[in-house]
Amino acid sequence: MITAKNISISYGKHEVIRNLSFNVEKSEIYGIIGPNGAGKTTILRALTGIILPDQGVMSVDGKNVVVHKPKIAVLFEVAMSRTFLRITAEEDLMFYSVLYDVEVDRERIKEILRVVGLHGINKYVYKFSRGMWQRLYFARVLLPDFPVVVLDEPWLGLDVAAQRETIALLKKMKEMQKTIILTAHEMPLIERICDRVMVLDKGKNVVEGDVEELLDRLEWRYEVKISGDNLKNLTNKFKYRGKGRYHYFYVKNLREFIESIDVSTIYEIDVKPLSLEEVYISLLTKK
Amino acid sequence: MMNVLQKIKVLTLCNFKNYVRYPENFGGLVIYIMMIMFIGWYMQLLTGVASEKAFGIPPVLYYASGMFILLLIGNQNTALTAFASWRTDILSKQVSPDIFLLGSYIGGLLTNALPGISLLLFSLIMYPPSMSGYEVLLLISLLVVSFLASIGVSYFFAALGMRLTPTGFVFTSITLLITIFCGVLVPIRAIPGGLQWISYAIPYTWTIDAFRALVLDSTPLMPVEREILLLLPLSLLLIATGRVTLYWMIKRIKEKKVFIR
Repeated sequence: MITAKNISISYGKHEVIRNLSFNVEKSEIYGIIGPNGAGKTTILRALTGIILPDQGVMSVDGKNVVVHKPKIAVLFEVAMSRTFLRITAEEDLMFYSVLYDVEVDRERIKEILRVVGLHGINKYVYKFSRGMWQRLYFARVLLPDFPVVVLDEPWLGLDVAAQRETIALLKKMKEMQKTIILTAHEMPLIERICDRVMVLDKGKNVVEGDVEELLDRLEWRYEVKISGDNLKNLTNKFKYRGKGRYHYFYVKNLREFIESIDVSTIYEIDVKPLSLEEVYISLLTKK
Repeated sequence: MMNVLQKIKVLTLCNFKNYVRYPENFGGLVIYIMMIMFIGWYMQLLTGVASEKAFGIPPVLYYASGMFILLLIGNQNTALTAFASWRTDILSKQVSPDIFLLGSYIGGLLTNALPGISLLLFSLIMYPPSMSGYEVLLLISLLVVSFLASIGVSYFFAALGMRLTPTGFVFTSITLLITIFCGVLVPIRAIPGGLQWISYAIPYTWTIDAFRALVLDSTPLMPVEREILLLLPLSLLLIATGRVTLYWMIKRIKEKKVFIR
């Protein structure tokens, strides 16, 4: 669906993206994560035609995005000051119909507002809460019914409730067979929603794969907090850290660990699976 | 064609609705009109009958007509702010820059021109004009070519809006220079000879001059028909070069990656 081959992008002499390649399959949610300045937004800008890559080809459905402007619904971080504030959500979507060069269809607009939960709200958008703004942004990207959706930092500045709403909207978009490519810093949310993830650092693809594949790259997958007797013999077999009355073991294969312990000697056990955040930190600190 | 017109209508209405729903815009409008009236009244007090000799018409009408025309056609800042505000969308979405410009322009016309229209209505009620059918025809032709010229200027401002922030002093200075040199505040004949060429290069100068001659019987710089004939190629040239400039700017932003959020 989306292919990037050997993309290099420089801002003046500063090379932001270096020989980057990746593929995004149809109806997939693809996350790009990385530290600030890694080049995440630059990739999205190149994909949506805001800037042109210096080298390489980006294509959507086999069509080079430089030659054929792709039909991509896009959401970049929007400054509230740069939009009409005294119009309703319905009027805002009429305006965005023009920006996307699609038919101004009031029925479709009402349907979209229903999907995002803004139907029947007649207040001007400047009176919207942060969560309502986010729903309006999602309504804007759903409006043109394009197969590809690009979201830059969709959870930026959202509280937990609004983040949960956004996750639900992304799931709805996936059900609609949209191919979604997004950038974010919120690892738990990326882990929950993305089918595949690319870790980008200094414009290079550090690692790519589904969350399970990335977790497999870690030396261990689980942190086991345990208290009990006769645990010392495990310290030779598993990575170990003692802390007060608890023992901490870092294990890759949980079954192997459980089979190694004598359950009758255990008082308390707590297993914490490691997350994408640990993969991310480990990859970047290794570098 | 219907599709294009509908899009322009949506853009226009969004601009208009967003403007009229700010109550403070009407407060500003009243202050604006009162300010112009005050300048005219003060000038008349200051110069008495002599002012009419200098301007060819009463000073209140001189300022009111000039401001009306400038507000009506000098709509380039709308393109500037619209293109600066939605530059990400213009670059990343499918909208045609031409449609966006026209929609924003007409929207701006309905909003920015409101003080000017009120001002002129007030003045015309005070000094009702008498015009022949031929003069009405000339007036319509004048307004059509003037709008074309204004759209041409708007293309240049749209190109600037794509590249720069609209709050800079540069734009205020450009608008101020246009206001000074187009004959709104200072009669062209009163501008030093060496600087008059700036006035002649501004299309609004000819519109304001011809408008005053047709509606208020002031003495024009040259016959009104010639002024309209001069404006027509100037307008077309401005549209052609302005459009090329805007598209060149969009291409350059993409290629040189000089995009600013």
